[in-house]
Amino acid sequence: MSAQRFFDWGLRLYIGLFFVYLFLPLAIMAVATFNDSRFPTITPWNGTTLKWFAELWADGRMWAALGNSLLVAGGVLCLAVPIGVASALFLTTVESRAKPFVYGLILSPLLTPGVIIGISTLIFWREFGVSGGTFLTVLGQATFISAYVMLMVMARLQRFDRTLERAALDLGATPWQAFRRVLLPFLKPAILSAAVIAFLQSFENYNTSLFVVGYDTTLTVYIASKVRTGLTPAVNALGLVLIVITILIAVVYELKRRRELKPKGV
Amino acid sequence: MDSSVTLDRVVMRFGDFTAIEPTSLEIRSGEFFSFLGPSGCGKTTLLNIISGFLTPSEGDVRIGDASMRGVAVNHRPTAMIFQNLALFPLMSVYQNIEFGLEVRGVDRTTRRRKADELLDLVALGGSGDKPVSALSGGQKQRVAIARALAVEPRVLLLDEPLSALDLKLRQHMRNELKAIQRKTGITFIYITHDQGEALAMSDRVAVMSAGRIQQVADPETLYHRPKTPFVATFVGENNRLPGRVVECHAGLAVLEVPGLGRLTGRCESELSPGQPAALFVRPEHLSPSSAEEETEAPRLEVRIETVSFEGAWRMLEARLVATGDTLRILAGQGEGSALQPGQTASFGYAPDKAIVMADDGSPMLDAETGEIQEAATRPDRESPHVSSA
Repeated sequence: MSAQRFFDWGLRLYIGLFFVYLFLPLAIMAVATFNDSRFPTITPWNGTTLKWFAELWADGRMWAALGNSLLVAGGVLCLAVPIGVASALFLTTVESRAKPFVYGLILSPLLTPGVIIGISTLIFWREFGVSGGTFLTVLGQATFISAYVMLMVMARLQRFDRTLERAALDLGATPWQAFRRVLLPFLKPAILSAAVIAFLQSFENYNTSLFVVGYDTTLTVYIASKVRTGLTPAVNALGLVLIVITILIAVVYELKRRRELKPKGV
Repeated sequence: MDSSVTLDRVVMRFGDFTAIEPTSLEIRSGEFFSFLGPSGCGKTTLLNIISGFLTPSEGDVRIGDASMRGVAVNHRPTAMIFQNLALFPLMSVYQNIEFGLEVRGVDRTTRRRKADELLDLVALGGSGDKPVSALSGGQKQRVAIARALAVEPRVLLLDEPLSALDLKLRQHMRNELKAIQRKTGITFIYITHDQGEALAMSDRVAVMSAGRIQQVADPETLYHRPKTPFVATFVGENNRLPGRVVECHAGLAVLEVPGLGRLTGRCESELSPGQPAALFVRPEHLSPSSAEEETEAPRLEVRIETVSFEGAWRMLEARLVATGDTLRILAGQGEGSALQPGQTASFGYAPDKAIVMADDGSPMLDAETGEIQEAATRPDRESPHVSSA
């Protein structure tokens, strides 16, 4: 009995510590946004201010970098999701001796350090006269993000009952109709979550992007460069904005999910 | 419309393995036809060839007069009911049934009217809006039937669709399938390893073994006049007593069975003296014989080993005193029902109820284990007392 209680309290303590470890840095970062200090810190507290939001608002290069990050993430989505889904389909459906080769080929960028992907993308494309910029950033990131998409879609595909496809064909559907009406709806949740992961992976990527961004700086690269030139709490303000947006999206998604879970029409 | 299905010298090979030996067969229009056989006998392969999922290595399939060579699955006038039903899990009952019509571009109102008709036919009226996950096993079965019928197939292919249901429901669905077949007049091709299903529903049954059709006949003929030892042992239960032919004329054969003497049975084909053969007698054709009866009748002395009470009858498992081989005897309510394990008794049979068939070396069902035995591994083929006969 008492051992059980000890265990319960121990578990609570552990969970508490875990959340502190997870969220304390974020909390400090958020609080520091409001400190009237030239550096992002909470000690000493020089007085409460909102001026860093104003400064963030006025920082044109920061917004350009954010816009570019979103553009890159969008581009990566358009490239990595089709490639990932197609390779997952190929690897689970087609009987081919090329299978292990394709699997290894798609997965290898995951095992390669991002820095090397960045450098080799840059060197390869320079041969064709293409220099660093948004285009190369999209290509560089998509090489390894495709692998994430493939793994996630494959996990779901392996649970797909292939007789459903046969049933669709047997009922007169063309292969394309069978894919669109039966397989695709089944894969939709996996493709959507893979897309979200792909977007986030792209948005937060630094080490690959660093080498290929050229003048089209992304947000991560811009923030890192500011560390050298002098970091102000305006960066904290940006972080806070992003956190709030993330929380809002999560809350809206959760509310929507709960509404869908409720029995309908009763 | 002619909905017959003709297999014209169909052969199926997978690499070195021949799944279907050359097979020719005509399934009549509007017939309830079953392929019966143990797993691995090639019956599912044949079904896949008819539906178009497999292309035969040789030969041709015709539906009506039209050759199916080069006709893809989605263009064949067949519909399949899959073993696991393969209902689309993310769709409602309506969407499932209307799927085949939708991909053909049939408009919404026509689709819905047709779906409602079919739901009535399978006694599921009013369930159209339910998700398929909300249905019971029997209801799913009915939706699968309705979905397949929606595309108005000329031939309905059924791949052991009842195997997942419990016994009562299975028996009920048998009647229902038969009724639907009669109402629609569609050719039903049914695949099963369950002889009860095949015998109860079919107009004709093809018994298959090792990629070869052993016999095609109506259920009664199959049971009473099996053509091969495999059919004799696979369809219904049978006792097999191996020996050598002594003589054969006027439809009766006399067999010398080691330890048991001379046994007589019907013979359908010519047998030459000295040829290895076996006598098949069904458990229900064995009846107790008393010592006073005329000595002409065959008599088998046995020791009763187990008695299993099955309700309407008892199944006795006995060992022949002379050879130690197992003999299964079906005892009704009266005679033989008093027998207990350990007792010895004497059983006889009417010679016209037993069949003598040449040992063709085909695989057959082992009475003790219920497993199919290839001729090569069968112990009695080279047992010493047979050769000494």
